[in-house]
Amino acid sequence: MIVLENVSKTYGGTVKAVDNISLTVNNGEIFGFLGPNGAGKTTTIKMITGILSPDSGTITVNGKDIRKEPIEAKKQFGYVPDDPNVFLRLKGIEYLNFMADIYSVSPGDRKQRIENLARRFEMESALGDRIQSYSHGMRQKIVLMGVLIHDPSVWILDEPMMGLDPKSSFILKEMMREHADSGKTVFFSTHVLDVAEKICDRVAIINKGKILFCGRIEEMKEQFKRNESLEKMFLELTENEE
Amino acid sequence: MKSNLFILTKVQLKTGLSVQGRGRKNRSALLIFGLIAVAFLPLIIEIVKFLSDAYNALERIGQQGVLLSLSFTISSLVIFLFGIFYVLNIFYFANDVESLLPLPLKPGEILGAKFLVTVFYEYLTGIAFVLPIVAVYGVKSGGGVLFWLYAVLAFLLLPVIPLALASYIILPLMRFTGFAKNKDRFRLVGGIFALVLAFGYSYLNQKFVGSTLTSEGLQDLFLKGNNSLVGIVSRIFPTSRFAAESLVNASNISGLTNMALFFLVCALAFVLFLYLGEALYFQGVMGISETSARRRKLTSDELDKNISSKSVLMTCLLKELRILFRTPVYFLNCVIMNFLYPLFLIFPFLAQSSAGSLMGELGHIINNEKFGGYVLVGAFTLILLVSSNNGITSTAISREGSNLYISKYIPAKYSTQIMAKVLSGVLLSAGGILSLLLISAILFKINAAMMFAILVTGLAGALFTAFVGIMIDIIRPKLNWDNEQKAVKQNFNMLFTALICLAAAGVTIFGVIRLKLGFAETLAAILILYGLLDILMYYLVKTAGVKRFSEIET
Repeated sequence: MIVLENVSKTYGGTVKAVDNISLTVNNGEIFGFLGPNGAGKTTTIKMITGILSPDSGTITVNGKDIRKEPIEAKKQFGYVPDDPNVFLRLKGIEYLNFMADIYSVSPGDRKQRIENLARRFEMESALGDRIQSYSHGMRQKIVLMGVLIHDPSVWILDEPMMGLDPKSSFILKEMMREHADSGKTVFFSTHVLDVAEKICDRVAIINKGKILFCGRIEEMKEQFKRNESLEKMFLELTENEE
Repeated sequence: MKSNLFILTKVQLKTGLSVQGRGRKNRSALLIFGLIAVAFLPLIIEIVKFLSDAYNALERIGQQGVLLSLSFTISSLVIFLFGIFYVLNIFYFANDVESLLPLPLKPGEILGAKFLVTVFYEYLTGIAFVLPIVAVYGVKSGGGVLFWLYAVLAFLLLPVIPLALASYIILPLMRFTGFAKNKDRFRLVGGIFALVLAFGYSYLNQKFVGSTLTSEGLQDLFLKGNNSLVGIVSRIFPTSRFAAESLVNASNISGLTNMALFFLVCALAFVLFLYLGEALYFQGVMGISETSARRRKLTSDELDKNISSKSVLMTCLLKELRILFRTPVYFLNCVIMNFLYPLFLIFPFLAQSSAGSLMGELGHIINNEKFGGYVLVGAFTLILLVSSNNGITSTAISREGSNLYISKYIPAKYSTQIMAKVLSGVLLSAGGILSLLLISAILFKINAAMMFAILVTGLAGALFTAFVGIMIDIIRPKLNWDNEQKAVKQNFNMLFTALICLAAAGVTIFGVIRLKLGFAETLAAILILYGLLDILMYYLVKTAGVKRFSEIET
C-alpha cells in the first residue's frame, strides 16, 4: 500500500512539478499512473522511492514513512526506473547478486529465483556478459529481474513495458496480475493507454503536477456520461487544462 | 557541403569545450586556472631565459633560425603522436558518431568537421611547443608586422599536416583490419603505450638532458652537422621547414613564397585527407560501438560461484572495485598509478650511469638511524601525495554520474555506501604502499622496523586522504557527464583533494624537521596526529557528509 498526502515538489524555486497531490494505492490492485510528458509522473515516483525529497507532505509505503524510516520503507518496494542503463560494466549475474545482497535474499532463494527469472525472460545465455553488451530490451529485463529477485510486496514500475519484446511484455503483465491478485501492490506509470485500460484496476491522471482524476475506468466513463475509450477521455481531460 | 561542414564543426566545438554551469562555478574555475598559471610562472620564466640564452649562442654562428625549425618540427612530431590518439578517439570512438551516421551527411563532411575540431585541440599542444620559441625569436630579432602575421598563420596551419599524416595511417587501418574493434581493450592498450612513452621520455631525459641542456651544449649539437636529431626529425616533416623559412625571411619575398608553399601543402594534405575519408571512413566506423559478448549459458557451478552472499558493505565495495578495474579510464587514472609511481621515482636513478653506487649511498642514508625520522616522514609524505592524487574517493560520487539515483532508492544506509567508497580508496592506496615497500626493500634493503612504520603511518595517511577526497566529492560532485573521462580527468575535486593533502604533508614535514624528531617520535607523532584526524574526518563524513549526500538530487 502506498499513501501520498499533500505532496508538493518545486524545481528551481518556480516550476511546480508536483502540486499538492494525494493518492492511495491499495493492496491487491494494479494502479496505473497516466499523464502526458512532463506532467510530473517521474517526479512523483522519484519521491515515493526516496530519490527526491518532497518539499512538503508525507509519503508512506506499507505504513513506513520514506523520510522518517527510509531503510525500512525502501525494503518494502522494488523499483524499475525509466532508464535501464545501470552499472553497465557489471555482468548481468553480478548485478542480480548485488541486488540480492542489498535486499538480503537468502542464497537458496537467490539461485532458484535467478534460474527461474532467467528462463522466463530468456536471459539465460546473457547473464555471464556485461550489461554494456545488452540491447535496450535486455537491459530493461535485467533491471526487472533485479527487482523480482527480492520479491518485494510493492512494485513501482516507471514505463516498464518500454523496449520489451511482446513475449516479455506479456509475461510482465501476467506477473503484475498475479502479484496484485495475491494481495500485493503494483504501481506503474505508462503512456500506453491500451495497456492501462486492459490491466489497471484503478488509474490516476496527472497533468501539470495536479491529479485530474483518480478512480476506476468505469467511474471515469460515468463522469463523462459516455462510453468512450480511455484514450479519448484522457485527451479530453488533459486538453481542457490548457 | 560547406555549410554542413561549418555547422558540424560549430556543434562539435560547443559540445566538446562546453563550460559547465555559469556564474559562481565559472568564476571558481577561472580562479583555479589562474592559480595554476601562477604556479607555473617560475617554470615559464626559466624556459624563456633558457631560450633567450640559446638564441644568443646560436646568433653568434648565424644559426638562430634553427630554433624556429626545431620548434616547428618537434611540435609537428608531438602533434602527430597525439594525433593518432585524437583521430581514433574523435573520429571513431566519440559518442556522437552513432548519432551522426544516420544523418544525410557525406563522410567528408563529418570527417572535415572532426578534423577541424582536432586541429583546435592541437593548438594547445602548439601553444606549449611553438609559442615560447616564436615569441622569444620575434622579440630578439625585432620581427616586424609581417613576421607576426606569418607567425600566426604558421601557428594556425601547423597541426594540419601531422594530423593528416596520422589520419592517413588510421583510416586504412580501421577500414581493413580489426585493429581496435574492441574500444575498451584498445583504450587500455593505448593508455599503457602512453605510460611506456612517459617512462621512455623520463629515461632519455635523464640520460641526455644533463649534458646538452646548456647553450654551449646546444651549440655543439648543431655544429656537429646533419646527423643530429633535428635533421632526422625535419626529414619526417619537411614541410615545417617552409614555415620556419617564411618566418626567418619575413622581411623579404622569400618569406611570402615559403608561406604560400606551406599553405599549399596544407591544403593539399587536407584535400587528400577528405578523399581518403570519402573512400574509407564509413566502412571502418560502422559497428564500432558494438561490444563483444559470449552469450553462453552459465553452468550450475558457475552460477553457484557467482551468487555467494555478502554484507551490504562488502557488496558495495566489490561493485566499486569492479567498475574501477573494468573501466579503462578509471583503471589508468585511478588504479594503475598506485602501483607504478614508485617505478617512476626510481627510474631516473636507474638511468644514471653510476646507478649502483648511487643506490648504495641512498640506502646508506635511508638506513642510518640518525635520519630515521626524516626517512619515515618522507615516505609518509609520498604516500599522502600519491593516494590523494589517485582520485579514487575524490571522484567516487562523481563517477556514479546518472546512476547516482540507485544509491538513493536501495535500502542501504548512505553511510555504508559512502564507507564502501572510502574503503575502495584505502585498499588501492594500500596496494601502492606495498609496492613502495617492496621496491625500497629490494633497492635500499630497509629494515623491518622502518617497513612496519611506513606501513602503519601510510595506512593512517591513506585513510585521511580518502576521507578528504570523499568529503570534497560529496560537497561538489560532478554528476553531469556523458563520457567517463570527464568524471575523472576534468574533475577539480581531485586537485582540491591533492592541494589539501599537500598542505597537510607540508605541515607534517615542517613539524618533524623543526622539532628534530627521531624515528620513534616521528612514528608516534604521525600516528597520534593522523589517528585523531581520521577519527575527526570519519565523524564528519558520517554526519555532515551523509546529510549532504542525502540532499544531492539528480
